[in-house]
Amino acid sequence: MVQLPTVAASEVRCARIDTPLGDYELLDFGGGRRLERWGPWLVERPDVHATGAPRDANWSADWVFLRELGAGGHWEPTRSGLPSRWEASLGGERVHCRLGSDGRVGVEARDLLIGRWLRERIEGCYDLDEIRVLNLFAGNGYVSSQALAAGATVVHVDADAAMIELARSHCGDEQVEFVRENVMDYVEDLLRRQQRFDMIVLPVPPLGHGPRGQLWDREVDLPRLVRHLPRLVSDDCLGIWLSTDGGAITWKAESLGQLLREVLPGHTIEPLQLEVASVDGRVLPAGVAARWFDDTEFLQTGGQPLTAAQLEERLDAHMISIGAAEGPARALADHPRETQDFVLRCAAMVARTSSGMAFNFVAHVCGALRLMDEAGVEAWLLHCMDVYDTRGLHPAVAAFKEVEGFARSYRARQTGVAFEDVAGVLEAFVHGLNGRRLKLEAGEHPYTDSETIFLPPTLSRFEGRDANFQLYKAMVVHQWAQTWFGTWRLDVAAAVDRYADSERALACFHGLETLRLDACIERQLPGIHRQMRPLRAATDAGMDQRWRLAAAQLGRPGATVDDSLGLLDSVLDAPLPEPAAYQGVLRPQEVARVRKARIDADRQRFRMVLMKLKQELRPDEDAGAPESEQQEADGGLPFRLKKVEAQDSVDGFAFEIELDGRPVPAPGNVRSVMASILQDLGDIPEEYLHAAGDGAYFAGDTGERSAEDVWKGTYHEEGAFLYNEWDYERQNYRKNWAVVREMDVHPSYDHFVDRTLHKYRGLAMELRRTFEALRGEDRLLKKQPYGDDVDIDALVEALADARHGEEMSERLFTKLHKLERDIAVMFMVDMSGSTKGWINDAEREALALLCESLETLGDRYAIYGFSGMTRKRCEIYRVKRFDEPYDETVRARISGIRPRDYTRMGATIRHLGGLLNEVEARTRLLVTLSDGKPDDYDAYRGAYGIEDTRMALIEAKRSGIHPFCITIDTEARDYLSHMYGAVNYAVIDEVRKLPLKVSDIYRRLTS
Amino acid sequence: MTAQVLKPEEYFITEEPYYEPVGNEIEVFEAAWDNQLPVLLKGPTGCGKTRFMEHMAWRLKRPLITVSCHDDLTASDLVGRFLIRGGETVWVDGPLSRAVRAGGICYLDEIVEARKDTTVVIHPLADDRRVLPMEKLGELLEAGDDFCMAISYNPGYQSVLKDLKQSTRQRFVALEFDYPSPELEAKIIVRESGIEPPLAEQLVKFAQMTRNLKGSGLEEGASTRLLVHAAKLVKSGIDPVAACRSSIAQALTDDEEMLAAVNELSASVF
Repeated sequence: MVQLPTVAASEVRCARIDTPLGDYELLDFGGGRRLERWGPWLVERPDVHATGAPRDANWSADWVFLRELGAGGHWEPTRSGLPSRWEASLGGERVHCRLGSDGRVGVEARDLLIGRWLRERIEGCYDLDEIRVLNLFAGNGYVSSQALAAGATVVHVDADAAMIELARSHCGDEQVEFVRENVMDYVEDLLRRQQRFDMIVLPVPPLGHGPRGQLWDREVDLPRLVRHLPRLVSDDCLGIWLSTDGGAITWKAESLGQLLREVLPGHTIEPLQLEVASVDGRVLPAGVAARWFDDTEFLQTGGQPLTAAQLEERLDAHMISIGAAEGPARALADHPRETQDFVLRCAAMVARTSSGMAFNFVAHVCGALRLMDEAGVEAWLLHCMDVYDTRGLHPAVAAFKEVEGFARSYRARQTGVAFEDVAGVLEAFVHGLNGRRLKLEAGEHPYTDSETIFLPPTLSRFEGRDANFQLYKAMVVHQWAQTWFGTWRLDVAAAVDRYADSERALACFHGLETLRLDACIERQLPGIHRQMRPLRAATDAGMDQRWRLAAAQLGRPGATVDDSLGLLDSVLDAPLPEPAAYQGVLRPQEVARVRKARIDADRQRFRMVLMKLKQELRPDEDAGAPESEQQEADGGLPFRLKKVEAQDSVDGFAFEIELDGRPVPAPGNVRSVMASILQDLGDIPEEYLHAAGDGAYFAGDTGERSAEDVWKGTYHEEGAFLYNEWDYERQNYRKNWAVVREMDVHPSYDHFVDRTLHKYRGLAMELRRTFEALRGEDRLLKKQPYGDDVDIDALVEALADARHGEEMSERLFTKLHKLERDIAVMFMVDMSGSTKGWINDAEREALALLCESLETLGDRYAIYGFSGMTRKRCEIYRVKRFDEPYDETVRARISGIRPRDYTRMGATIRHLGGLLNEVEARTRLLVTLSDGKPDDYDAYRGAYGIEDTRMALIEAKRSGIHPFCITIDTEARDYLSHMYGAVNYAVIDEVRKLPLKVSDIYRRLTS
Repeated sequence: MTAQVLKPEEYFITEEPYYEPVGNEIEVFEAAWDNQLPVLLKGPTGCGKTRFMEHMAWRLKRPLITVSCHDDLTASDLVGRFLIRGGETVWVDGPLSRAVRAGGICYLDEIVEARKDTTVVIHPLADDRRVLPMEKLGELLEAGDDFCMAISYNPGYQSVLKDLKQSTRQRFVALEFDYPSPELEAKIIVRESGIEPPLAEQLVKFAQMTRNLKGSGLEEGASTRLLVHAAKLVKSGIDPVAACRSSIAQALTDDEEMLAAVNELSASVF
C-alpha cells in the first residue's frame, strides 16, 4: 500500500474576503461578537473567533442576536419599525437578508469564497457542455445562485424548509433542484441511483437535524460522508469544496485536506484558512476549508508547470514501487506544462496495460523528448506497445531503452519518404508512361526484372520529402526506360560473361546504357529529364574523355542497346564515373529468367488468342481438319502479319493481323499480347502464327490449397485476412491482430427448408404477400408543381380559390414517382456453441423464412455465419454469397448451420463489412442474428469485446453501412444500445418467435 | 456576343462550326438524312459528337434542338404537356414536337439515361412510320422530309439496368466516335486554340498517358475537349503544367493518389 504524503500545516493558505464588498461591511469585532452592515442596516451577532477587544466600545446595531441558554437565540431590534427582511446588493447580485433563528443573516464569508471559486472553476472549463453541481448543507442559496449564474445545473440539499424557501428566492426555479432532506440519507440515495456530479460543495455544520429528526454530528458523520465522495464524482470532476466552522472541536484545515486525500488521492489539495477583513484591515478568522481539484485535466486559466512533487504525486498512482517516480518526476519538472500533461496522459494510458511498461516509459521519456518532438515520442510509445503485444515484456523493455535508435529512424522517416507512401502514385505514373504494366515492390536495391520494379523501402538521402520523392520517381523512370527502350532485348548476361572481369563489364555496360536511356528520355519526356539531370551532376562531372565520346554517340536518336554493347570495349579500361543516384543495379540473370517465362507465356497466349479469333470469324471450319493445301503448309492458322507505322510505340511500328489478305480488327487482348511480344523481341516471329494444335492450354500453376488444409497445416496465416482490433484501454488499434478465414458450410441435404416452409405455411404465405407489396412500384403523387398530367381535383380547388379572390395554388399536376428498392443486406449469423439446441433450430428456421421473403422482394442479400476460437482462428462460414442464386445448395447450407465455438464479433464485422461494401447499392444493411455478447476464449470478453465490436460497427457506419442487431439475449439492452446505438437493435424475448419476428423486423427496416 | 433569347426551332447555326472528320461520318450522315434515317452516335465524352451535330445542322441548314437526357426524363417532357395559364389549360409542345413541326434536327444526348417510356415516342419516329403519337392531344404528328432524329450514348458507361435495347438500336444508323489519331488530334487543338504545333503534340502525348490509365484508377482518359481547354489556357499565358493540372487532372479525378500521378505525368512531358 503506497504511503501517501500527509497534508502539512505549512501548506495551508489564507482565503480572505475584504470588506467593504458591495453592501456588506465588517465594521468591528471583538469580545466574542461582531458588527456588520448589510445594506442599510447594522447587525450584531456572536462569533467565537472574535477574540480580542473591539475597536469601538459602543456599537449601535439595528438588530442584535442574543443567545439563550442551551442552543438557539433570537433577534432583538434596537428600535421599532425595523424590517426583518430586506435586500442588499453584492457586486450586482441581490442578496435576500432574512434574520435566521440560528443567527444567520445575509451570507457568510465562506459563501462568498465558495461562490467565487465555483464561478472560477465552472467558467474556466471549456470541455464540458453540462456541469452538475451538488450543494450539500446548501443554506440560503447564495452559493447555488452563483453556480447557476456560471451556467451549471445545481442540486441544492438542505434540511431546513425556511432555508429552502430563501434559497428559492435567490435561485429561481430554472436549472436547480431543491431537496429537503437529511444529507446523509440523500447521499445514500444518490449512490443507489449512481448519480455523479462535476462539483461538490460541502460546508458542513458541526451539528444539525434532518427534517425527521435525524442527527448530523460532524465528528461522527463527516468521515463517513467523505468516504462516499469518490462514488459521487464524475470523471471530469472540476473540484470539491469541504469546509466547516465552529463546534466543540476546532478542525484544522490540514485535517480536512487529509480527509480528502485519503479518499481521493493523486490530485491537488488546497487547505485554506478562511478570513474576513474588516474595514480597518483587521482580520477575523471565519472557518477552515479544503479544496480538492485536478489541475491536469482541463484548460484552466493558469497552466503553470507542475512542480516535481506534483508530478511525482500523479505518477505514483501508476507505479508499483515507492519512489519509482521520483527521478523521472524531477526530470520532467523542467518541461513546459503541455509536455507534462502529455507525458502524464501517456503514462496513464500505458499503466492501464501494464505498470511495468508505465515505469519504463516514464524512465526514458525525458531522453526521448530531447531527441524527438511529441509526435515522435508518441510513435515511439506505440512502437514499444506493439512490441509488448507481440513479443512480451522483456523485448518491450529493450525497445524502450533503444530510444536513440528509434529517434534516428523516426527522423529519417520524417524527412525521408517510405515506399508505401508513394507506391500508389508511382504505380499509376509508370502505368501511364506506357508499355507493359509494371508492378512496384520494395527491395534492397533499385532494379527491375522486366516485370517488376524494385525500390528501396525508404529513402532519406535528401533533406526534404519532396526531393526524396523526386529521387523515387527518377528511379522508377530509369527502370521503366530499360524495359521500354529495349535494354533487355539483348542477352546481357551472355554478353557480359565474355569478359574476364564480367562484373566490371556489367558496371560499364550499365553506365553506357544509362547515357543512352537518358538521351531517349530527354527526347520524349523533357520535363522529367529536367528533374533527373541534377541527380547525375556528379556522374557528368567525373566522366573522362572516352566516356564523353561514348555519350555523344549514344545520344543520337537511332542508338540502340547494340550500340552500347559495341562501345563497351572502348570504355572498359577508363575510370568508371560515379553511378547516378537513380541508377540502381542490373540483374541480368533475374531478367533472363522472368523474360523467358513471359516469352513462352506470351507465345502460348498469342496462339490461343488467334485460335479463338479464327473460331469467331470462321465458325464453320473444323479446327482439326485443314481445308486447303495452303493451310496444311502453314500449320493450320491462316493469319498473316503486316507491319504498319505506329507513332506511339517505341519502335515506330506495330503489327496488324490479316486474314486472307483482309485486315482483321484485333480485340484489346490480342493487341496487348502483341505489344508485349514486340517489347520483348522487337518483332513478332512468323513461327508464332503456327498452330499449337487443339486444346493448347498451357499448364498453369497447380490449384490453390483449400482453406481447410491451409488451416490444418503450418501455413497458419496464409490465405487469411488480417484485421486490426481496437483496444479500448489503449485507445488504439492492435495491428493485424485477428486472423479471419472464410469457409463454406457443409451442406446438409435433409429438406430442412421445405419442412420449415410447410410448418409455417400460413405465415410464409402472409409474408410473401406483404413482401410483394413492398416491391418497387410507382406512386402517384398529387398536387405537384410540375408533372405529367393535370390534377383535376387540385385544379378545381385552385379555381374555386381564385373565384373567391384568394391566391391560386401552383401545385396542379400529378407525377408518377418510381420507388426503387436498391438495397443490399448482409446477414451475420451467430454460430457459437451457445446457440446449441433450440436457438440453432430457431435461427435456421428464421433464415429459411427470411430467404423466401427476400427472394420475393428482389433485394440482394448474402448470409454468412461466424464463430471462432482465439484471435488466430476467426472463422466465417459462407452460406450464401451475394452473387449466388438461392438454389438447393444454399438451402442445404442453411440446414447445415451448426453451433461451433466462440464469438469474436469485431473481426467478423470488419470482414463482412468489407464484402458488403463491394456491392453497389444505395442502402447497405448489416443485420446480426445473435444470442449474446461478444465472447472469445482469450481476453475478448466483457468491456474489451464490447468496445472492439462497437468500434468495428462505427467503422462500418462510416463506410455507409447500417448495422442492426436482432438478439434473444434478454439482458442485451445494457450493452446493445452502447454497441449498436439506441434504435438499431431488437430484442426477441422468446426463441420460438424468432422466425416470425425476423422477417417482420426486416420489413420495417427497409420500407 | 451578348445573351439573347431564341425559340429552339429558330436556332439556325449561321457560322461554320469547325469539325475535323475522322472517317466518312459526314457523308454517312448526309446519306442518312437524304433517306430520312435516324442516326445513333456512339463514343466517349468529349470526342466531338455534339460538335458534329452542330456542323451537320449548319451544313444541312436546319435548326438543331438538343435535349440532354437524365433519369427523370419522361415521354411527356419530350412530347409536351398541358400547363395551366390564366385558369385555362394550354398545350405546350416539348422539344421533340417542336423539332418535328419545324422540320429540324432533334438531338437526344445520352438517351440511355432517360426513362423507358421514352421509347414509346422514339420508336415510331425512328422507323418507317416517322410519326409522333401525341396521346394527350389525341393527334398524330407526321414528320416532314426535313426532320431528322439523332441520339447519342456512351457505350463505356454501360450498366445492366441502363442499356440500349436491340429493338431501339436496330432502328438507327450508327456512327462511332473515338479519340482521333495523334496527328489529327494535334491539328484540332491547334485550330481550336491557336497554340504552336509542338506544344499541341506534347498535349496529345500527355492525353495518351492518361488514356493508358483508363480502368486502373481513371474512369476515362482525357478527352479532346479537355485538351482544347488546356491549350486555350496556355495560349492565354498559363504555364503548361499548371494548365494541365486544372483543366485536365482536376477534371478527371478526385482521388488524391491518381491526381498526384497525373500531375507527375504532365510535369514529365513539358
